[in-house]
Amino acid sequence: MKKLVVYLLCIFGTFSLVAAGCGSDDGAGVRSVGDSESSSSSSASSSSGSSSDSSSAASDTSQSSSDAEEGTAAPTSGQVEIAIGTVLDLDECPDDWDPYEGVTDDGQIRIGISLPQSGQLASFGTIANGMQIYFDFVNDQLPIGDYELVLVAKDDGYEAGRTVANIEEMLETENILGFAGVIGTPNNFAIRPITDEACVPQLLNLSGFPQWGDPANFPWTVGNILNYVTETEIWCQHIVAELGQGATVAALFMNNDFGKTYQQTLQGCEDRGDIDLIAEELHDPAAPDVTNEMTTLIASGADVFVAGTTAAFCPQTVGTLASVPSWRPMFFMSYTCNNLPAYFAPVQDFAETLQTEGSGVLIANYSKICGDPRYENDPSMVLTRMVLEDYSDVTCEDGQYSGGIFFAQVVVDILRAAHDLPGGVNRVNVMKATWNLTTLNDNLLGGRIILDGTNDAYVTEAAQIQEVQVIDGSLTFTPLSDVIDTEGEGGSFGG
Amino acid sequence: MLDKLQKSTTPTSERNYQLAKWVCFTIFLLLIAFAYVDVGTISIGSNNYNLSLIRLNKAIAYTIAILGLQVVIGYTGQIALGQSFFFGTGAYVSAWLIADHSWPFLLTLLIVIPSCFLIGMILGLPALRIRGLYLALLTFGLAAVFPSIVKLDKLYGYTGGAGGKLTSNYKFLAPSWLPFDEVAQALQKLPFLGDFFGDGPLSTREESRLWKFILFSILAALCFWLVHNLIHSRPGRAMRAIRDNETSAAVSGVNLALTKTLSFGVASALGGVGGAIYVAEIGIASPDDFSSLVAIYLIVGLVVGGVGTLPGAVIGGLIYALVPDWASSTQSISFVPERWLQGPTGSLILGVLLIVLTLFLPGGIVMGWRKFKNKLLGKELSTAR
Repeated sequence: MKKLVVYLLCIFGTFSLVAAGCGSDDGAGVRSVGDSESSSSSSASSSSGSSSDSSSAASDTSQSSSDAEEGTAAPTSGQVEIAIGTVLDLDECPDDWDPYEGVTDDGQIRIGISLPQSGQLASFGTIANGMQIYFDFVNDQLPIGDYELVLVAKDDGYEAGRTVANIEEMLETENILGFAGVIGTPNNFAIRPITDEACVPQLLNLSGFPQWGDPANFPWTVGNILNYVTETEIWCQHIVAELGQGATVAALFMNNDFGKTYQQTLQGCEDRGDIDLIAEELHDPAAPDVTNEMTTLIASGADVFVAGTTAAFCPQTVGTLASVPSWRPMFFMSYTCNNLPAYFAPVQDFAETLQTEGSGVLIANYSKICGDPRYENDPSMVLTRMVLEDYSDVTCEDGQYSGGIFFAQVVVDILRAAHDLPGGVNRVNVMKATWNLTTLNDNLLGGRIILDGTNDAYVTEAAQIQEVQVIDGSLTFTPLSDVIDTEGEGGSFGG
Repeated sequence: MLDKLQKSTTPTSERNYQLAKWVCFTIFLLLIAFAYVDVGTISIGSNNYNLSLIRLNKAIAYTIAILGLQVVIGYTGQIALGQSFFFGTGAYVSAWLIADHSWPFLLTLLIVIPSCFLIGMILGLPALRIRGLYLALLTFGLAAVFPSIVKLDKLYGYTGGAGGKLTSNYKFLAPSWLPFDEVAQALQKLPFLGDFFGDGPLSTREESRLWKFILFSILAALCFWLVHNLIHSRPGRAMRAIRDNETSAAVSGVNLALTKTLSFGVASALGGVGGAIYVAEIGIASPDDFSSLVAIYLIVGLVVGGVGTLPGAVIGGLIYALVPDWASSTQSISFVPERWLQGPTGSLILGVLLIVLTLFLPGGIVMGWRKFKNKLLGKELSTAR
């Protein structure tokens, strides 16, 4: 009996200690549905005050601030059509769902992101830092109304299981309005049912998988970067234009949905008779290197080499190919490798060798690259450099920070447009602003972003074939084609 | 004092004591479950660390997989580094049955356990001929190839390829007869501690999460009970004999082939159960979640927890589930530059733990705790495991 008492005391003592150390402030600082009226009025008043700031921002949204003072707020229950073919069924949202969650009383708009800050794809982790730097700039110089943007970032090591846990925990503890820029196809797939069920925006997935443009079935989820199918079709067109039909192609793909999308689209080109895909190699995303796969592909002697891979594997393919002088194919690489300082500076000599020997790396770029001397005086790059200089101790040369700034600009465009809608920033208005987004963005080669529900569900649809060249000792992209702009022609995944 | 108490304990009272101990432990677990049904946050300095049933459910999955490693490595002495292969196999088989055949989760275990057991026994056959480093390499090879196998085009219909197999069509709803709401509201009225059990009735999602935790805990308890009985049975003694001296075991009449393959089979089946629980919690079986890195982390969990100890599996599972996340949640530490805290700090901490414990506490945390406790009580540490 004594033992029992001792054990009970120990257990409850331990429990009390654990319990004392924990406990989240559930709901603290979160605006409730009942506050929507005041939110509407406050947003309306603040939007007029910020309209001049907005007009001077790098990117302007087409939603005028005067709209905020006219019309009525979008309903926060029932079935709400927010864009063409795009309906939010708010009756299916959880009982405790609050459209204003993540917009706090102390004036914060809280956005979550889960991305790999460790593991093989850790180089993408600095995107979150870049986003935070731009949010700091916006909060300081061009605030959205009176709000402060807050980014909550979590490391998932590119494991879908950790992404799910991160997202669920952020939903419960961080007062998140929505998520933006989650990296990876399986990761976004894994969380889509959660955000869909929880009625939480899942914005601008950093994955070029076509399924992110499906507002008819998944209105809470939207993609961001250039669709890999579109990118591959641009490669095929360029191959046919330069080498004629039937050119032989050897290709390296990362063995995940990212690489498989390239593979399937290239096989489609082959089926049409545009190319002859004579060698294909897949590599594991966690592989230490791709030397074995490259050796097999080099033996094929194909006319074209395609590197459908990313991150640390980009410079590896450049280095391996340059060290084999007997093979100089036309060399295409995924645009996810387009960060010159991060992926090409370490192999600059090899890139120069390939350029001078007729196998310069070709990339279908959709945006301007910070660190490319060609855009040294471009207003968008000047802004990016200025933001990095003023709000951090990093530069464009330090990795993916500039990419983070670009992605954060689109998030800010959406939030600004939502803020200008009647009702102000809430989850419904964020999705309404997203699926009707029309904005100019100087970072993009196409210069604009148009989303129109099921009519046009893809953010980025313009690209240009560019070659990585070393000019006067500096890495740069040299355009080899006009900008191929399919804006408005993308439709949606669901058709 | 405990020593005196133990000496005066009769076998019957010992049984009652054990029973009372487990009842208390169960009550403790239930209190934890109700307290953390909404995500709790532990704040240290300016850093916030989440503790939720989501992480704890993942910890249970890892714990069962590490328990399998205890059987094959800790008790049989075979260096098997391919547990992520079976962890993944269990996850994918379960996901396939749930997603494509609408099986309930528990029923999938009827397929997962025997299939993983058989695969484990078959793949354990090489252990009859090779040992040590070669066996380690061979089993690690299994872990390395698993993601590539599930991404094969021919298996796309079963595995979902590189995108993974979603099981979101299956809703893990708590049975309506379980009085979760009533218990939660009763706990909320407790003096002093009531605030830690939330406010108001549980949402459907919270009830589902609670149900999963209780169900997975029961499964884990069953696994521990079975393994405990196994290692104290004739085959278990044979396993330990092989671990201690293979030649002596053979001379004593132990059937080496049968015992070794049996231990591989049991370990694999436990890995499969862990995988099935993992996919039931996460809702997707994705190839990159079962990479060779997972196999290494499971081994780290085994060593850090304590090789050849059953509680070591629990500690290993908790460390694997919590350390990487908590490391990435650490935003600031005095005198440490912020940029040092970004990136793979979780892997770094796990690696440092492995090195430190191997050097200074070879038996892992459990053996360290036992040594400390016995030193405190002035007892000799029993070498028998």
